[in-house]
Amino acid sequence: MIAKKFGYGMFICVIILSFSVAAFGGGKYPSKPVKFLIPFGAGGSADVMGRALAKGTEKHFGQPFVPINKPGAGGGIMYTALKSSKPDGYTVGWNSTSVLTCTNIGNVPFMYDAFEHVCRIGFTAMPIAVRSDAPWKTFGEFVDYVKKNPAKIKIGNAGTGSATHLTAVLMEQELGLKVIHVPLGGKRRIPSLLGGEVEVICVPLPEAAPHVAGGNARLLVMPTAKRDPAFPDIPTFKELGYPIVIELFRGLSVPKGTPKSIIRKLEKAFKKGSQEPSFTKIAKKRGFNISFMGRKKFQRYLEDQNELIARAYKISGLVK
Amino acid sequence: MSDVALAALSDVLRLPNLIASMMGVFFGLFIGASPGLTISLGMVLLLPLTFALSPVTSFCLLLGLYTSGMTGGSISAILLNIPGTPSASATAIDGHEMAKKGRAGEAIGTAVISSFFGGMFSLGCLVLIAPAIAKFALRFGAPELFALVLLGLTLICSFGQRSIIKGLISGVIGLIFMTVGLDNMMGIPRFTFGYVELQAGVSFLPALIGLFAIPQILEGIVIGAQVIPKYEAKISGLLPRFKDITQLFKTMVLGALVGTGIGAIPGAGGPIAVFLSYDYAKRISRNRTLFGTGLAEGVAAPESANNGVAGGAMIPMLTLGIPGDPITAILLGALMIQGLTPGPLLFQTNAQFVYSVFWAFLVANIMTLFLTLSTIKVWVRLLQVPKRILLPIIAILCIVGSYALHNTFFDTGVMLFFGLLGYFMRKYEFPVVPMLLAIILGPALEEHLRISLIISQGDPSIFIRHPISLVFIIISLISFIGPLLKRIRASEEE
Repeated sequence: MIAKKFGYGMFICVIILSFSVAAFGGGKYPSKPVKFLIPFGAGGSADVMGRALAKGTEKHFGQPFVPINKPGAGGGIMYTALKSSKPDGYTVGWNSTSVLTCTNIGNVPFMYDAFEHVCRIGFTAMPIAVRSDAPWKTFGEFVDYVKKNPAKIKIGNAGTGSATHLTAVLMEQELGLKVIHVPLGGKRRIPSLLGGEVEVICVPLPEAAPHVAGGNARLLVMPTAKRDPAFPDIPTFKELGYPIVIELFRGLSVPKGTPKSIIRKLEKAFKKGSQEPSFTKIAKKRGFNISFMGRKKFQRYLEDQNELIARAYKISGLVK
Repeated sequence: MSDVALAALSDVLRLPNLIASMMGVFFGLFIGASPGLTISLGMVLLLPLTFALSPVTSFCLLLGLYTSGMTGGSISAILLNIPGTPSASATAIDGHEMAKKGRAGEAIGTAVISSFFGGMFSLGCLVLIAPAIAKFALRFGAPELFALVLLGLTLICSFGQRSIIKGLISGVIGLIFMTVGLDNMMGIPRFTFGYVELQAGVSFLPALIGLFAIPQILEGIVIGAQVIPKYEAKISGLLPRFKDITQLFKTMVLGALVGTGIGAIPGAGGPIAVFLSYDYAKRISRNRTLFGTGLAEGVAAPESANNGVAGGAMIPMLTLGIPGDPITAILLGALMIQGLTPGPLLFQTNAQFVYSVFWAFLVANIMTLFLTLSTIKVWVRLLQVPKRILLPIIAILCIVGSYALHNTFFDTGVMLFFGLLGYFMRKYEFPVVPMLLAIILGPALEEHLRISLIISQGDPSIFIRHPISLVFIIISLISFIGPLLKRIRASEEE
């Protein structure tokens, strides 16, 4: 009997408490779960890394993130959805280089500056890879060969206008080469290289790494700012004297007009989330280099990358 | 059997691993049977769990999901005419007809047993001749894949049933729909009228759900749900008889061969395997004319093929580190998270793990077989729900399923559009399957054609110079002209 009364009492207390939280906590952010939009489909690299980051950030943020895949149109679907959501901090977008590609190519009627960018979490390198039985041991030898045999070598990429294609376009331009670009798509680039359909591919490092370890492929050059810790012998374009730094970055964006205090809260939480062991472990295994950039630094980085990508589109003739 | 293989077996048979397999199988059956929930999505949901598990335990879980998801897809195809996965769409053709005739139990039984057979066959290939198959599969470049997809499209003729013209019309309209959206290769929007949503194009699962499931609901509304005939109340013979199964042996072998072969080719995909297998089964069958009216062979062929694809797709994954289909791509990711590098080295450095994968796949197949067979009674009871209750439930499943795939209502719109289209096509006797084939194969056809021509710098002889592609093109021509000639001869005799 007493237990029953005690039970009722507890029940009433809980109800009163929850009402008061709702009444007085209304202005406090975050007070409910946050939608976490992913621009690509379930199971891909963006999805796996995004879900891991969302999970790792939850405890620093105080509310769960709900991952929602919005694939399609090279990320355009997700960015359009993000742009039209309320700027109240309850929708964040897991961005990537796609925020620069799908905007510059003109498929969506806005540019990357239609958002507030919270921070960069890190990036993946997109090296130039060849089969291990290819005659070129170094990038220099490869360049000499292509110069002597213009428009012979086929370079596979993930699709015209993708970051891998633009990397190859910039390489062509900066080094004065002539190659054939083959938009193989994501699924078929490794089989195409190993099967001999193309001689070279530009490919995200995590996809190439197992084949390098297995002795079937070799990396020639990295388009990153610094050498990759896992492949310290592979030079970068930059140190060879060519100003090509394109990275497949990932970070977070929110709709324009989101209050600064909310952006700062998200920035802080994701910074901690990106150092969470559960996230760093997966990142390491998937070849994702965690290299956090705060809001201001990310803004400058985006400007640089945007300029480079816009230039590559002009060179390739995709945008006039 | 070597010590390593035995050690792997005893590892897989440890209680936690068996429980993981069981959980995977349960979850997969649910995912597969729910329209719109794909096996890929199921795997992604389970993936975070595997971070904390050992490699073997996580593979028991994921392979359980993969195997039973394939089977689960056919259950909703047979009972409700909603293919739970694209690979189950060929199963719906004869499977649902069987269900209508009160033979749902037999249809599910046949599906499950053929799935098991296909799974075992592909496992056999995986264990015995994986490296050879993988090496051959690598020779499939863009021209070869184009020719293979072309062969798949020629099936339009044999699915045209009464009128080849109507079949072709239906197929061509399907191809035109698939040009909507961002062009895969150049990223240029086509027929989008300025709407960003249309850039994603027509996703084939919502289109499939619309074409198959919505017409029956509309018919229910038009005729009046009370009057439409209920499924046979008495469900005769829950399980297929042993004799029936032995008669299906030839069909199952064919399906398993086609499934394993096509599964092993990176980028070819499961749906093409199930339709090719369905068509070949029809060609070699004595009951050719009865296909499409509820024939067990029409269920056995695509079902043994789609579980053949599962084992087949693991061949390039384990031997070369290249996924055979989108699902094995996720498995590959799971392997990498576990710190294992797939590829030729895996067999040398982690032989025991490779054997564990084989055993786990075997266990998953056996569990799926028994779990599904023992629950047939429950599944079949679903059909005894009166149609005025069942049809609204199907409608809700269609809407939720099409939304859940990519979380956009645009896909729900696509589903309803194809539903209406399917209803009128049925009414005016246009066959639906050619459109389905075009929707599934159209994007691949265009992609491989254009990549081939980029590689050859615009020279179309690339399709004839490559021997594998030449062979497929010749078979395509034969299977395209064959039915035409037969019809002309028949009309001359009249």
